[in-house]
Amino acid sequence: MSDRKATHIPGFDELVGGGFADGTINLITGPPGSAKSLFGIHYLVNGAHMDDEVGIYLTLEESRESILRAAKGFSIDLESLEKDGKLFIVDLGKMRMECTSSEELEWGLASFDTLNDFLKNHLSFSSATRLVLDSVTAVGLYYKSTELLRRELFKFARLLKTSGLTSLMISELTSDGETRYGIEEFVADSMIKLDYESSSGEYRRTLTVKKMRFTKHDPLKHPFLVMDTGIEVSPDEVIG
Amino acid sequence: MKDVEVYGKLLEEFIRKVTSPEIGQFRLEVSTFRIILERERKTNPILNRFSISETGTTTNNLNDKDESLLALQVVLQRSLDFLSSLVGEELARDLVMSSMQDSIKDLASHVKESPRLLRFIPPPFNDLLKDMVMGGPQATDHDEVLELFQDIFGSYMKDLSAQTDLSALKLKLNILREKHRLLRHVEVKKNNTIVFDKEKWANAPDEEVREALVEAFNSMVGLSVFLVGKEEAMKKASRSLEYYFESKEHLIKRYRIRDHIVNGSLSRRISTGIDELDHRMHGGIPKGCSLLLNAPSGIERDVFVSRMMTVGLNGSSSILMVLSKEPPRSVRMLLRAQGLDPEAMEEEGRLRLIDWFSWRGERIIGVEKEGYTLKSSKILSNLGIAINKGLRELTFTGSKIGIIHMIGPALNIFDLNQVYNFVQRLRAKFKEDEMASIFILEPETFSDEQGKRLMEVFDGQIELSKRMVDGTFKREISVKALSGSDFDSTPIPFIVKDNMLHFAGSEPTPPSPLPEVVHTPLKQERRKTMVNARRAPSEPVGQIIREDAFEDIDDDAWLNELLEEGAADVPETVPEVRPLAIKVSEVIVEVPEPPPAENEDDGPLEGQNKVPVKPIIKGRKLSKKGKGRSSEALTGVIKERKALRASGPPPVRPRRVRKALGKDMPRRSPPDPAALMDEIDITGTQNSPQKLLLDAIETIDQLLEESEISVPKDPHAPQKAQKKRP
Repeated sequence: MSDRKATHIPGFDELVGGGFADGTINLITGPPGSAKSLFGIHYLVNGAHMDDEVGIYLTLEESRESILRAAKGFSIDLESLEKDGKLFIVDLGKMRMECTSSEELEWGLASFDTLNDFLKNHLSFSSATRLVLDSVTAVGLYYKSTELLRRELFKFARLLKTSGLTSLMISELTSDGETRYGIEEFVADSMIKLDYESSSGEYRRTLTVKKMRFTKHDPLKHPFLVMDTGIEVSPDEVIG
Repeated sequence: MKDVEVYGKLLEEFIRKVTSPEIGQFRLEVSTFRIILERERKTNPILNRFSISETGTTTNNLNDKDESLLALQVVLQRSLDFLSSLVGEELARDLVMSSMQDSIKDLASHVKESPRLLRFIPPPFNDLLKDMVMGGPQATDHDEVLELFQDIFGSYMKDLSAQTDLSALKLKLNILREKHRLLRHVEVKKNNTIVFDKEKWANAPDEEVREALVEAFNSMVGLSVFLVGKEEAMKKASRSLEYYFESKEHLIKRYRIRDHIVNGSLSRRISTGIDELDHRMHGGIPKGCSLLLNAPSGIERDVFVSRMMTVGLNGSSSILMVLSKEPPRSVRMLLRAQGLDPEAMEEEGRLRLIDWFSWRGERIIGVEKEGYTLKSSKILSNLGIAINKGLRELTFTGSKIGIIHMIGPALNIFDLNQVYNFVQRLRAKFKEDEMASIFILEPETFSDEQGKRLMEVFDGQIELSKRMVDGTFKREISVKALSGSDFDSTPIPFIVKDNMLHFAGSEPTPPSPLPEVVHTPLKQERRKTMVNARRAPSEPVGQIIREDAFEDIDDDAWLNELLEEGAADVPETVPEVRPLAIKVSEVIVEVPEPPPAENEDDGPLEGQNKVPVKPIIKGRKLSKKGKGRSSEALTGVIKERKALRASGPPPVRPRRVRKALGKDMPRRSPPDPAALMDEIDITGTQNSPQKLLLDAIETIDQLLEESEISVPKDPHAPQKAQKKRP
């Protein structure tokens, strides 16, 4: 049996030795609109369809409806997977708002403690092996100091690793090309950077595997496309 | 003479031939053979009774026993192997075949008397001897190939039986027996071995034997594909052939086994479609090789490419084509004209068209799919993605051919380094996929420096040249370079007649017959239009003119063709013409009145959709390449057209022209077109030639208002307009 979780995103697994190593935390970063969420959706949906694995999509930024609608645009039916118990889309922001009325929670903010609690409960009844957290940037807003955020993030990372989940953490990039808090990449076992750039008057999307522990990965920048059916990476093409 | 003496004589003759100056650059030294003999003596002391002098003569004291013959066979084989290691197996064989012909004649009578000799004489010597002794290759002797296939099938059956029940295979063989009578004489034994009744096969011609064996072998490979996957099955098939046919190259050649098994996917070379050129490369383009086709735009290149595609698709190849100068529908039309069904081939995974043309006219984001066609936006990384996708979608088992036409247009957009890197990546990918490819490059689109740099990327170069010698065009095709393989660079002169390439000294027919008309894409249409314009006005003519047909016409080629057409009127000296001169393209479009349909609902005949034609007249600025062309020549051509127009029926109204030029011109009474043409000064010396041209357009507009046209159109394209009657 493979010790990796394949994403089954055409062309991507070839770059990373077949997929993400089991039990690892993987950071998907990129500027807004770089298809980070779509990458996360593919990871879970393909896992459910192709490997019969259960996945959890924790969303803090987008509403559940928004996620469903976005997926439908690529002919991905998330609701049927939910009905089959293969996928859980959890709108954590909304859930928290329903539970409490404190000022912070009115904005849908959630701490890593909240995520810890949720995951512990969830994993007690589901056999999920894949997780997407969209996004770690939103969780970070809960914390007023970077020190505190760093400590909590490390605690949360430990929980993820011991829970047997292979996780994707989505994180935004600043305009300088850095992660928002500058610490996400240290916690993660791998870092995938999605981007777009101008070339001969056109925008093209690019993907770079910046880091991947336990894996001999392809570090080059590859173009990828968002086709009718979703993301397609071109491992044969290299930019730069 | 004893057998052993005959053998010694054969060896001596071989040494004499390959050490003689006649052999040219591949000449060997006698000392080489002395060293080989010396080495063999160490393992076989019997050879001490045989010696080779410094001049190459032999002294033979061997006794006439099999062991002596075997010892000499080893020496001969080692010598041949040495030659092969220097010049390649194929060339070594060819050298032997050509140089030993006469020498072996003398030995043939001895061999006839003593057939055992043949057992000890290795190929290709024994092939020659057999031919002489038996009067040509014996179609009746299939024992050798049957024995080999018996072994191959035995090994396959053994392997397959370990993984599955062989009943499916046996059933398939039973079905094949209906188709191939020879397979009725094959017995599948209980221990999963196969036995051929050789006597029953003995009198069959080679082709029939091959077909039967290939069908049976393909069935086994098919079952193997089902069990272990395509890649593994192909590897196994290839290994089997390599193993069993090792040193049996004569059989491979005789039966052309590799070219047929598994749709030829095991063949090592891909035909260019032109036998003469294939011979220059010893069988065609080696698999995995990317060659540069250095050819100017024009009918020659179009016919060459068309021929390569047709032969490939009619055979067992699949084709990936990158288009940058014409839309995919042109290629489909071309293939249809050759009697092929491009849509079915696309569905089959045998044909993929990569459209790098449409981005000029429509908005393409990244890579888009339209049916089976992959459209790429301008940037090269997207083109690369489209090509890779297309390559993955070529699922047909046969060999793969790539026809890539993008370098010239890419050099106009991107810098040389970008294009260089892109082509280099493509070549690596094609090599990995064992795809034989040609990259088309027009000599007029790059500088010498760029050409040298680009050439580094490729495995070889084919040059197609056309130049004017003594008032006539001299056309030649040659292999300029081919790495890792021997080739003959002698140019092959040819002419283009009836849209086919005809080679000097050969019958004016291609190796395998093509349909009479080869419709090359847009340029061909343009050419026909020009021809149509020359016809007598009463002759019915009909031609499609599309605006996009003129978009990417190369000035040089256009002028060449124009000059060629009107060669009689063209002076040989060509003074320079100012670059800003106007070139008037041809616009005569006439169509015979279609017979009235009995039933209006019948609609157009299949393949003859009728739409109103939108002919155009286009004024174009000559590029810098137009420099050096003759103004007189152009004037002559224009005058000729003018005369035709004046005497012929009114041409069709070009509705789109005014729109395209953004002019909203009022209508007026039509002036005499001949007089109008006189006003046009193509050298640009009079005022506003553009205006005069517009006037001419307007005039023709007026004259042809009542005209209506029916045009043969791509039958698969949706019918866009109803026909009208005047």
